[in-house]
Amino acid sequence: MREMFTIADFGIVEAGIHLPGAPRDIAEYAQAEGVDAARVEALLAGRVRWFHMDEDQSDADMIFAAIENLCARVGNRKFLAQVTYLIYVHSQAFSMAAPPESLFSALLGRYDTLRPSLSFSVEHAACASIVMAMEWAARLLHQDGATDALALVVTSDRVFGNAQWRIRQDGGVQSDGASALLVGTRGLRCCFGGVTVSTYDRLHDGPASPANEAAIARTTWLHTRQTLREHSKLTGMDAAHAAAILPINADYLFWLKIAEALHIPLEKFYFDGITQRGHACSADLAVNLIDHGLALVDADGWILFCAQSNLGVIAALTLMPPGCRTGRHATAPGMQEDCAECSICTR
Amino acid sequence: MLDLHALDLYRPPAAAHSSRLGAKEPYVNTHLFDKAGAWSRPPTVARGVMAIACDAFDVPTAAAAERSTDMASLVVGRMLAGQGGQSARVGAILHAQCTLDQQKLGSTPLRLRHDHLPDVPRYATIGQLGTAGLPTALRLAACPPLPGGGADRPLTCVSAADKWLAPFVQHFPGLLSYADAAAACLAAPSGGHAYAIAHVLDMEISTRPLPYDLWTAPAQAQEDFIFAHVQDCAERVRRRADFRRAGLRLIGDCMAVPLGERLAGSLGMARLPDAAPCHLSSASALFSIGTAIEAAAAREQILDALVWTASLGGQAAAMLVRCRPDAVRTQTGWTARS
Repeated sequence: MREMFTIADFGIVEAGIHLPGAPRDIAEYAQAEGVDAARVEALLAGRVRWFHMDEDQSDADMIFAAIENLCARVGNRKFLAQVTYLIYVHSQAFSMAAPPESLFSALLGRYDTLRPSLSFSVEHAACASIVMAMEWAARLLHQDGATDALALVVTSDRVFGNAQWRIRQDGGVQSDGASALLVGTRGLRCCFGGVTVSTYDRLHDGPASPANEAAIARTTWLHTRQTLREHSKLTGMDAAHAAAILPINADYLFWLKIAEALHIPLEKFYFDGITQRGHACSADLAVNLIDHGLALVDADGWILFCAQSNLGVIAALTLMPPGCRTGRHATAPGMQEDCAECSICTR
Repeated sequence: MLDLHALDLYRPPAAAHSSRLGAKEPYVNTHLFDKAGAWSRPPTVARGVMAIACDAFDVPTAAAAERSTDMASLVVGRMLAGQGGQSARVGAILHAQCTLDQQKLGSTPLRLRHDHLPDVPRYATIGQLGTAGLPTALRLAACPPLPGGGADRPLTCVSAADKWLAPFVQHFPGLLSYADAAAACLAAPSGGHAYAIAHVLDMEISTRPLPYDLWTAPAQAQEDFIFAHVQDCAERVRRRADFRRAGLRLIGDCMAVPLGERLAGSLGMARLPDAAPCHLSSASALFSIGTAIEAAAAREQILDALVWTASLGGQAAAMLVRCRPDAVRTQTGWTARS
């Protein structure tokens, strides 16, 4: 086990995604499914347009494809043998093998070099689960201590049923999608700068009743605003100074309110994911990193991912260029003195 | 590795079943009959089928309105009731579950936080490990937090609960019948506390790809695979511990086949009696630990137990648990001497 470490010792080595099928137009889909025209208008006003769906792929199929994409982006598949921890994340409750069957047995059956010492899923925090999984990966790698150990975090979310389930909110369309994120300590594309998870557990039953649904709609943006404030305090990094804020790919109108309340320039938010990809739940982190975030980190920027949920869990994750030793990529006065190594703190 | 400070166990009353599938609840799990749902439904259960007739069997069965989340909240509440200020030292809730709650939009760990542990910073349901997720939850409870992540809260509330609903398969003829059950324990990395009911000294956790189709493979093939898998885990733990065979007692999941006897014979170990005449699902390993603590208390001496659990889905685990004779019995479990 390392004697001295910070969360910035860990980060994302590479990411892969799989969004099944050709992009579908929400307007055409909604018309075919008989969705109320006013709701379609609301969706379009919220910049929702394209999404993915394919009912012929299982969660395992989608994760296989995301891992293949990851292998292609890494340039080899040798790293699979170094995966010590395998973590599965899903927001959609049914995105799993029928119990007692396990997705992990399928993954290990597919990849004969993939032999992690520990596998488990992180569930029941909806779209915030992916940030928790990143934290678990860092904790386990820290405890492990082997510098070449890797954690592979895979996600899959599939929507079942008709448009009622695919369009669960006015601000987004649920997309089918999977991702694979490789977490480690070497060869990082970006390192972790801080994790904040806020919990408002009064909403633990999710949108199971009209009252809860109304409470979620009323409070989520307020909870997100508070979480981002707390996260800035924790990291010493003002969100307004981020190269980009990557929200989950839904709820455009909420993000406008948050931007205004926190005095964050609107252009800092990456909204193209809402329009181009749809809300693929746990995969949104990898999708937005690949589409936008990693290029900004490559150019020495730091970025902030923020995930909401319909259960009262909000999570924020700061990602920085690798090299910041303190994990405090600070913009607050005096904080820069904590780190004299990374490219931004020494700028 | 881990100290266990309290344990609570819950089995609802037994009820007779005549279907291989779990209880029928109207409007629950209907998504599994949509096209996309076929990937998450047992492939041997045709669209719309909510019962498959079989010989009658009895297992503990939750009431229709009793959710798995309710059962988890019950055991955690009872366990914490006798712990005084310890709740403030709980830093995480880790819940193991194989099945889906009948209110699929909700969250069990958030419910537990809301009901009993309002300030706990970290929580998760640990899944995709079949009914053998509990050892992994304990393994994660032993993982130190990141800096600033709550070293002042070393305790983890570990719970497990399952309720079997159609169209998931509850009864595997010739192999096992799953019960509805829940259990919880309070765990902390070893050494921080003077009192404990048991100490988890070591564990081996393993996931293997299945060499057959879970849903259609003969019971004997599944039993043989699980036997070899558990045996391997148990041998690894025992080799590391260098324990004398005579001092160690074996206990694990109860199945319809004499797997426990086979393992005991193969490992040369004496067995403790099964915790129940059926498989107690994800709570099984905690029930086994409870039985081992009971044996230690009855003998008034420390008892070392090799506790095993395995899932039909390819997971197996063996834990070396040192059970203390001074554990104090509660109405529904055990707590540490204060």
